[in-house]
Amino acid sequence: MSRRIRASGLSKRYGTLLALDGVGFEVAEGQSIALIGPNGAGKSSLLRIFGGITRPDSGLLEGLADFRSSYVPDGIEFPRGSSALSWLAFAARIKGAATGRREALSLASRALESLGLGAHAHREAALFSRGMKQRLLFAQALIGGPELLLMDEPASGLDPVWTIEWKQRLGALKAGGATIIFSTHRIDDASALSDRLLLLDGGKILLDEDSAAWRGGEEGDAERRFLSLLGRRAA
Amino acid sequence: MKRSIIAAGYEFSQLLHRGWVLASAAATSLLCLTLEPSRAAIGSMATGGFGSSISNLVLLLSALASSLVAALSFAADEEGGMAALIRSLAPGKGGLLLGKYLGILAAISAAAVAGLAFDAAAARIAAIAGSASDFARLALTAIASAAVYSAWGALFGSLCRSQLSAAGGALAFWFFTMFLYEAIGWALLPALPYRAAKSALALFLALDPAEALRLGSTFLGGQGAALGPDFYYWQRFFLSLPGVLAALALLSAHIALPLGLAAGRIGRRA
Repeated sequence: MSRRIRASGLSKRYGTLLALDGVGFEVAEGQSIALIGPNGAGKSSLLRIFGGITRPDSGLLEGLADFRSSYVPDGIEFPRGSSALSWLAFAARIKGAATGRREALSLASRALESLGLGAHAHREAALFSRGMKQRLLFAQALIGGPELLLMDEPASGLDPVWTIEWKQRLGALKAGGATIIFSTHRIDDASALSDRLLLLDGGKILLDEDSAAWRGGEEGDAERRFLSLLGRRAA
Repeated sequence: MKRSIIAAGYEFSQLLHRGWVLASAAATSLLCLTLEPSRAAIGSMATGGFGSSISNLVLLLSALASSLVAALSFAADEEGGMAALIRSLAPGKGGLLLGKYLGILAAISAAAVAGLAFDAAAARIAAIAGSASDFARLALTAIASAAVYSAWGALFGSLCRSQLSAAGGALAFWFFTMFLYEAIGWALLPALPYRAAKSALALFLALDPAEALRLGSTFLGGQGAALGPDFYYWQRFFLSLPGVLAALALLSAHIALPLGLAAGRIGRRA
């Protein structure tokens, strides 16, 4: 029997701002879900709750513990003085993916090579460009073979070559059976890389639909539909 | 516990590689050395081979450095989003907090011990009074001071999302507990009835981390400053076995309270 994650009635408030307002949906094992919506729609809050970083004020999240999950945040500051290799080795050990320091360094070294950062392994991660930091975070997420991958705007800051590479990696992970939830501002990426598309606005799910419905059509159709959905709600 | 040790090792290596341990050791050593001439002139005082000026300095410097480093380190992680990512990597937020705290404490302790050792060696060459046990007492006082103030620094770092606010808060707290608290206490205590004086003094001293450190390190030969006849009673008590145990409990409470509050704050932030 395949595993499932069931979210129901998730709400989160930051001061006076209601970031999530009773969000509920189900994710089946192996499914890929794209979260789209304007800034402040609640995408990051939802991913942070799934990633175990934030606790919801109310609501239930069931089945999450059955998955070995990894989280890619949207842009963070790395500690000054720490090389990419030492930080990644630390992350590998904290995750429990490596038992000793040597094993962690070897694992981290391979992960950096696979993300094209091998030549920068001993450079200070804090001084990396935005795209390189994003790749480092992606490397961190891949260590330990995640079954559930949570990514908050993972392609932001990537150059065109690595954007293509990232899409291919995501496809490979999906083909390998990983469950993926990611947020993006690119409607074409969202529909092309996911099975389901969740449109959020004002902390609520406006639309939960098969991504196939967003593919094809004429150029700009998807964007027009996206805007009309938000506009209709605003009206 | 294993993850706490990994986090401690990483934090220690960060402070070591960034040259912080070396710089702090050099500062401790340099400041102690500047006080050596006066120590040589007036001889050793009540605190043992090391003069009370050096003893005071170690307590002040160790507390200041540890509260600032801990506050900045914890706030930097919160500010940059790294703390959230690390917490997503492993369960047990309290264990990671403890590990980071222990790493900072280890770095500050190593710096204090190295700085004092250099000073002790220099004093020995200059034939100034001071034995290995004096050095050990002073080093232990520095470690106790770092243990207490790192915990308070961790609390300020967890409370504030900005490094500037955390450092400002830690600095104000250090200044208040080291200087202002004592002045306020001595202004208020004489107004109390004589019968209540002894208990009030005990409570007054126990509540402040700096005074608790002075009390708690009495058995180490630390700053059992002469605070009048009532304090003499407590000083004698802290030299007995129950007193040593009470001192350890007092210092532990001053470490556990801020760390517990920091863990609670991180939990609530989630």
